[in-house]
Amino acid sequence: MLVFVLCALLAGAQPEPPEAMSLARKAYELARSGQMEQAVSALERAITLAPRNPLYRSALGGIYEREHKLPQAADAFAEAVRLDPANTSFRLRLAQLQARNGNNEAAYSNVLRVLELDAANASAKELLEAVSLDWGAELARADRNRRGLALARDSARRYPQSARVQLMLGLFETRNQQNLNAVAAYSRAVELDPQSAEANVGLGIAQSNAGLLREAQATFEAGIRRFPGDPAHRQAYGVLLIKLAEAGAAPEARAIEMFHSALKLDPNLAEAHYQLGKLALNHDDARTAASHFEAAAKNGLDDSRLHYAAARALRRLGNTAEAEKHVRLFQLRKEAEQAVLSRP
Amino acid sequence: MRFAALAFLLALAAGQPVYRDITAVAGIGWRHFNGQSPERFLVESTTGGVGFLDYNNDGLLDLMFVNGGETPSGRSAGPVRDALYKNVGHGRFVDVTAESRLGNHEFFGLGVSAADYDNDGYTDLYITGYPSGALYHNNGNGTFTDVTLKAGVANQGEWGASAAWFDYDHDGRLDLFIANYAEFSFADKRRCEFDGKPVYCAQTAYRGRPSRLYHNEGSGRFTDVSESSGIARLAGRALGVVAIDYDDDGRDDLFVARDASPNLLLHNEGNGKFQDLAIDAEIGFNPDGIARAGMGVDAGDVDGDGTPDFVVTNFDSEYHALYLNPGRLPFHEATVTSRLAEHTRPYVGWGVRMLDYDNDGDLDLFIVNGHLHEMISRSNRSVAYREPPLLLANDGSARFTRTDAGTIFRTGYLGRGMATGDFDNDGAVDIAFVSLNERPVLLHNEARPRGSWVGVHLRGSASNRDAIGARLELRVGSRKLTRWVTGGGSFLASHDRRIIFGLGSDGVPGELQIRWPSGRTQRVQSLAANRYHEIVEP
Repeated sequence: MLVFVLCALLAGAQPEPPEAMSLARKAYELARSGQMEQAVSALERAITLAPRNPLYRSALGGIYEREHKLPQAADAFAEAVRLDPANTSFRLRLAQLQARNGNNEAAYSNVLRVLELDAANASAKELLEAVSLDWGAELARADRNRRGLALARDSARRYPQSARVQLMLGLFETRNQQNLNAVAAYSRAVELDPQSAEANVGLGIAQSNAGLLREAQATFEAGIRRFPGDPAHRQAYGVLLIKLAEAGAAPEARAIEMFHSALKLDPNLAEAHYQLGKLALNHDDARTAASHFEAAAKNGLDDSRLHYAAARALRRLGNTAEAEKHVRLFQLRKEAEQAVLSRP
Repeated sequence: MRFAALAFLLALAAGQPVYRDITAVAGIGWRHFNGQSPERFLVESTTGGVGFLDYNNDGLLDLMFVNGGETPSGRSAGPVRDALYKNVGHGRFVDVTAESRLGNHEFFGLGVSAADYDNDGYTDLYITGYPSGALYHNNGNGTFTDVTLKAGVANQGEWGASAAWFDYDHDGRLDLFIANYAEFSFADKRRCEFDGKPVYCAQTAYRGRPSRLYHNEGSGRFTDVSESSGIARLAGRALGVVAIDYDDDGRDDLFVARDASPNLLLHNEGNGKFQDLAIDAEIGFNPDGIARAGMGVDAGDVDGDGTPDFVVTNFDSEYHALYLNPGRLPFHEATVTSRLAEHTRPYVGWGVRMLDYDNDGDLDLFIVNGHLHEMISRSNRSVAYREPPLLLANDGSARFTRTDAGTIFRTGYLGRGMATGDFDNDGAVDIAFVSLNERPVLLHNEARPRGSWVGVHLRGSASNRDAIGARLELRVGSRKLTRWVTGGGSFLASHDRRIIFGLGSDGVPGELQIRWPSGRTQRVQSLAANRYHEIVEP
């Protein structure tokens, strides 16, 4: 890429001080011989002499990229884009660098602009899907669910054949309580990628949230047959079975069995431990409950639910000091979770 | 249970409703109006108060309905007013709003709480609302006077929902607790949408406010003691409240139902202060540590162990919750084992009462429901916008069966406030509730067969005249039935203060023990069945 940019630079038609061109040529030679620091220095001097030439900026960006100095590379391409906003090549490079730097929102915006300028740009289309998915994942981690939903819906419109985009859409529809939309998205994901256990689990959960409990049950039952080694199916089905058991529509024992079988497949499933702990607590078995909560914590669960439940179990065991500690943790986690909920 | 089940089966066999809607024949034509607007101001969804009270002491319960009001773009074709209906007997009511000088107020109305705050023998009214409320003194001649300013109970600037009268310091005068909801302004037009159409924003978009406690100083004046009592520190979206002595220490406590804020169990410390024991009681959150959308609350002994239990109505999929009181903390959440989870999963609940509809001696549950979002079924197929009320029959051990004989139980409403009272003095608890933007519903209890009963009407002397805070224990054969004269209860509502003990098919009333709010105790023997008895504090 560097060679491409420098060649373009040398063939460039922009009139400018001859010293600038000469420095750029020198930079090209230096870069070819691996003397990057000197090449950078030459280009910086060329930029000083011809500050409005975007090619020198992009060349500089190319060298920084080769040197794995990605933030500097992105800055150089951002300058190139500022000087030549209609240049899709600079902008696409900038977007790629922004994506690699984890600045997905900016990358997304720049790829969209490239596609506005050149709707047939295949590289931009490919990059947009990848950036959308990465940004979606970032938004999901940050619980920015309304923004995530807008992104996912836009992506689904652009990439109707992408199972991964449908998965992202299902996730954000679920988080925005658009439950029937979530069912549609996950159904499409299953259709596009029948081998995706994740899509099938998502579908079952979405159906459950949408009040389609029988359909959810059927999805999980079929999923367990199709993905016998997938603990996530059993764990999620166990959660649904608890809901059904609460409504008198399934035996609680089946839920317990589901969690135990999930833990056989993956003993580190925190959610399964948490759920088993809660069930034990319902049956006044605080000792078993506490041990499950401890296992859930060991496996990474550290949310308000866990600390509230742990406090209840420990209170019943007479360990009031530890229970109080968990109450305080519960309140801290709760405050943090509520702050997240108010994000856009 | 056997009796309840038999009554239910016989009613079904006869095609006879347990409760019959007699609103039209009773002459009740008032309609509720909530000012629903394109902006969807959340306050529109929390109105619709109703109360049973005997305002003219003729021995017949009258009915008070509280209207909402207009919103900036939710205008009414006619005047929006509350309504007082006088019970003229034979199941008929006459609108006496105009001559009573009630009906009009400057604020957006929500709920009602009736009590004789000045112990003059006439029941007064507090109307909650936004951005203030009003106290109406009963003049004893069929009219009321707005005494809010003099009394100092305007609750200015607040979105007051349910209110409860109770005597927290045992000075013989009723104090006033107002459950306040959230910061709100009609100027703050938050826009929330579902598929491009306006919907009410989630409650969490509104910052919760502290509730308020007014101490009754006598001479018609009250002092705001929210700060000194500790209540002002507990901000949150409160909607329902019931006053009852949950720990039998002789002092009335408060259970406050809050909407996506933890419920409160305010223990009356006896020194003018209240301490929230919700965490210890495990009533603040669901088992996942999530604060449910608590709306209405009521208290009573549903498992026959002599301690008051609590029921709280919540949002759909959260279940209306039942907390059994084992006589110590924590309470035991029996939402699943009582089958409330099974019966209430799709419903958004509001008014709720523990009542013995068939007089078998067990407290049953009546709950009114109604969603907020017109398009909810596009998000959840098992949930509807208009929802039926529920009558849940208790088997005596706090396990409930849905007992919904009658068309009203197959009809969807946007239920909100709900009150209970025996308006025809037949010993069977009747019900009134408000459905948003519609005529209210008056339900006559026609359960057959019904057990015998004993009615008790307490008159305090050293205690407050309404005897709010009294504990009653009636021996019926080998059973002991325990009841309380509570303050508040349900949602935006006020109830018949008389206690009806159901005796079952062959029960004979034994000794009645009363612990008055003053602490005095009284034993009463030989109460005749199937009639009311007025008992005056000795």
